[in-house]
Amino acid sequence: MIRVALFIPCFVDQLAPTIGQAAVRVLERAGCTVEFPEAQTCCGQPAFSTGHWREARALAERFVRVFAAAEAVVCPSGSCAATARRAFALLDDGDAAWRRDAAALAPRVFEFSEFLVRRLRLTDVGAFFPHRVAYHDACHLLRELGVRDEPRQLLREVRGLELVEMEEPEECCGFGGAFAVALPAISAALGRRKAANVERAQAEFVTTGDPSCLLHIGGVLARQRARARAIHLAEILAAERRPGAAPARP
Amino acid sequence: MTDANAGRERILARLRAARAAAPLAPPPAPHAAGVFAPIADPLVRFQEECAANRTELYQVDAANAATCLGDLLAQALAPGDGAPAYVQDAPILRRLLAALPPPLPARLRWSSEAAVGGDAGAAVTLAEALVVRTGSILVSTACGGRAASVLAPVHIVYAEAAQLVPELDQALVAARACAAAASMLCLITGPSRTSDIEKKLVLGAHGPRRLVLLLAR
Amino acid sequence: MNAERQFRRAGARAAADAARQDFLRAGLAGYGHAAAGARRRFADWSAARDRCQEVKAEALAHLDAYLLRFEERVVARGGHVFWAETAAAARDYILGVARRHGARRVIKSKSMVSEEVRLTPALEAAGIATVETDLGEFIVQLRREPPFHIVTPAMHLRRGEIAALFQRELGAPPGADSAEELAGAARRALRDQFLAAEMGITGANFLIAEEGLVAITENEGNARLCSSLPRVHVVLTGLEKVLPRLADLGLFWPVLAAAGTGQPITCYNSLIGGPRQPEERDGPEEFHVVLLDNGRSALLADRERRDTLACIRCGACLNVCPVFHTIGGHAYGATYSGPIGAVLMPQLGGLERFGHLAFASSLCGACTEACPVKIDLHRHLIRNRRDAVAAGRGRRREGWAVRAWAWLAADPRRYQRAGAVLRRLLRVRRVLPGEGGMLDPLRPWTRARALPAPPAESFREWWRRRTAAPPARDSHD
Repeated sequence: MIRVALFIPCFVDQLAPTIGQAAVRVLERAGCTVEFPEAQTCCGQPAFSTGHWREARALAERFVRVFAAAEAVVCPSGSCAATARRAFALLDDGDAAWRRDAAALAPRVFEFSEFLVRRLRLTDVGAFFPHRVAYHDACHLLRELGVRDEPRQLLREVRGLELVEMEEPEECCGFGGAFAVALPAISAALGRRKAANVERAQAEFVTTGDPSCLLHIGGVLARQRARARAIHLAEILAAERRPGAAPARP
Repeated sequence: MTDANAGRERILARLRAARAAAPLAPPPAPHAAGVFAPIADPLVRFQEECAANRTELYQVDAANAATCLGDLLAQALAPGDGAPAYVQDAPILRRLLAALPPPLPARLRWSSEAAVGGDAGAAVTLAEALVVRTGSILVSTACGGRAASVLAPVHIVYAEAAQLVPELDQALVAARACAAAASMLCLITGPSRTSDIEKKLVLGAHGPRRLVLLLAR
Repeated sequence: MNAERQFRRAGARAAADAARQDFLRAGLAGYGHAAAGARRRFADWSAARDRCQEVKAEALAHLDAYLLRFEERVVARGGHVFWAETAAAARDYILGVARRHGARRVIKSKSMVSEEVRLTPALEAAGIATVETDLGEFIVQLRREPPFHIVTPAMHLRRGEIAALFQRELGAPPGADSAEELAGAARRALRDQFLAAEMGITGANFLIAEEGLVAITENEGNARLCSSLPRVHVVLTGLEKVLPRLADLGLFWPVLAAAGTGQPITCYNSLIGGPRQPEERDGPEEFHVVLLDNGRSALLADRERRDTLACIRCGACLNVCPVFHTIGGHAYGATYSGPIGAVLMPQLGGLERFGHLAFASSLCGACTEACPVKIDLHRHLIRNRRDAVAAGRGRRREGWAVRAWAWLAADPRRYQRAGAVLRRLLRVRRVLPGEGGMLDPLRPWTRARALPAPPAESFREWWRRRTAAPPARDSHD
């Protein structure tokens, strides 16, 4: 039985805890022992990507310290997992010891779907979700971690779920962290395009492994009073068939 | 001559300061290996590539080459406008065009007599090499000069199957040899084209509308 | 108005024009399809990229030696090589050549370096008529606007707009508005220019060191005419475009074509080594190569960003960039637009004017993935942000927010209390009217996007409750 140290991105912790709860449920159902090291805070991604590398380094050090002994660190966010796995090493400032520590942790950091499929070799987690779902390839999940098929494999095994491919699934939704508020017009135009592609695919839900993309896409869909909604992959995988209950609709 | 200027020395000083300590790298292995898949049947592949890049390919026996070239030239030169055909002055082309029916012989201009002009209705040249991988034709200034293969609306090339090389690598070896004497070489792949207007392909942008290759076996 | 404000405004305006975005994307979808096909012609596209990266790294590591070798070979054939430190030096040299030959008419083929040094305005100011001959460049020159894209300069224009332009400027007949007719009209209009010009100016795609050759890639044949017909041929190019040897083109020609236009290989790949040689009957009598530095040697010294000089100007990063898709090329207000422009412009044109372009990216990484020479594009944008912050040129409010956040996140208890306060504030905000309106403090977000209701309980609060009461394991309330 594998012991999983869960890393919950700060924004999931505060604004979308159901994603974290769903991840816990799925991991436990898959037979993992889930731990949540409470000393964790933020991986430092916002500081890293806005160029505040001193602050990013301090948060990265905390992350490495907190998870140093973990067998596997699992995170329901592609961009946070990518930060720990790929960006930490860039914050070296010529410090070889830090590079070593960051490199030692990197291979034990997994994004949620990646962990299930690549590490646990599990694609059927016994979920039931009778809806039409489109998968959006979140950028960092796709390009930093190379995760393209894993989420789709998981979705294909969900009972009742119809997986549809929308147009331009790999085009950025326009979130981009600080970009979303620094250049809101461009960010929103991309969000509207993504929302339109979801709608054209006649999907009831759009999903991915990155909560921040979902906040953005979901926000655009809600503002446009669209029928489709955004939902995290973990929430779909956590949904089960309950006798007598209405079809799962979190 | 080199135009001596202080800027040159300052630029070079900065480049030297940034230079790597390691010595110059030795020449690499040919690039095609490992990067491109092997070609099964060179002639078939060459035909496919020519069709794809819109080169009009005619394969002829040596015995029929003269007739075929004459027909192509007659077709390229409209009877009315009197535009001349500009021809690379090479023994093989002299021989192939020796028995041209009138009035075509009067419309030939040999490269040894004059450079190609804006009035050319067609150009006939040889090639340095043909590339199977891309369906390309390598020419140099030895093939009738610099402008011959680009100024006329129709470019007719006479080449032999023995000139086919599988990869760009071999064509570049040939080009290297030519560059010792020629001031310009060009690897031509199909007729001139543009997609600058709504990404729609139009042939004959500024160069030839037609590229015709007469390949003798 | 400063460059950043101008960029925001132009970007927002373009972002609001969905029809134009659809038009741009429709054009680029064709490119995407062709490029994918061209990549499939490689047995191993990724290996080809690796090799390109290696060859370029070698060329840059010994740039001085390779450039000297190139110069030596060109000079041996009777050509001239001028090393221009600045844009002004390049302009002055070319003007001098033109004057010496009494040139009144210059024909040009496509060269982004000529845009970089503002060559055409300088020639025109000196009374030398200068005509762009690449069809797309010709069109944007008639419109008196800069190229929209480094490879396809007129991709933003519809056929109808070009037809109207040609009617007005060339006297083309009305109704002649198919791509064939328009290309034909340009061909006819430019034919006489080609034959009459005294001087031709081209760019270069590669400088081949070992053999001393300038490699020019094009589809139309206009660069061939520019370098064949006039008495003088001037090549204006960045000094970084070196490849060690001719054999390297066996890799770079098909890679440039695949990434640039999605072709297996471009129609004309010319190699030019000097002026007309004694036994040759045509070609220019004089041949000049102008090697432009203009900030490139400083970039070479920057180990972190040196790979930027490996750029072969294929435009692939623009073609896949969601920001470019949304705002187009002109909004950047820069010679080089898109991801490579955002990386390069601060180095070539100054941090002051172009530093803000580092933020014109969602950091999606599509550019880095598309780059055939594997330039670390999106991470360079982050590095540019880092340097802006370090130099005290970062964006102030963002800096406060990040530092405050980092301070809170340095201590889990502090972080947790702050989170609770944040959620309470968001709840209070929700009962106020006017979400997304002018008075909403979160308007940059909420104007186009709803914000979900904050939960009463954070994940860690839920976790603590759950571990404190083990039997209630599955209560996901």
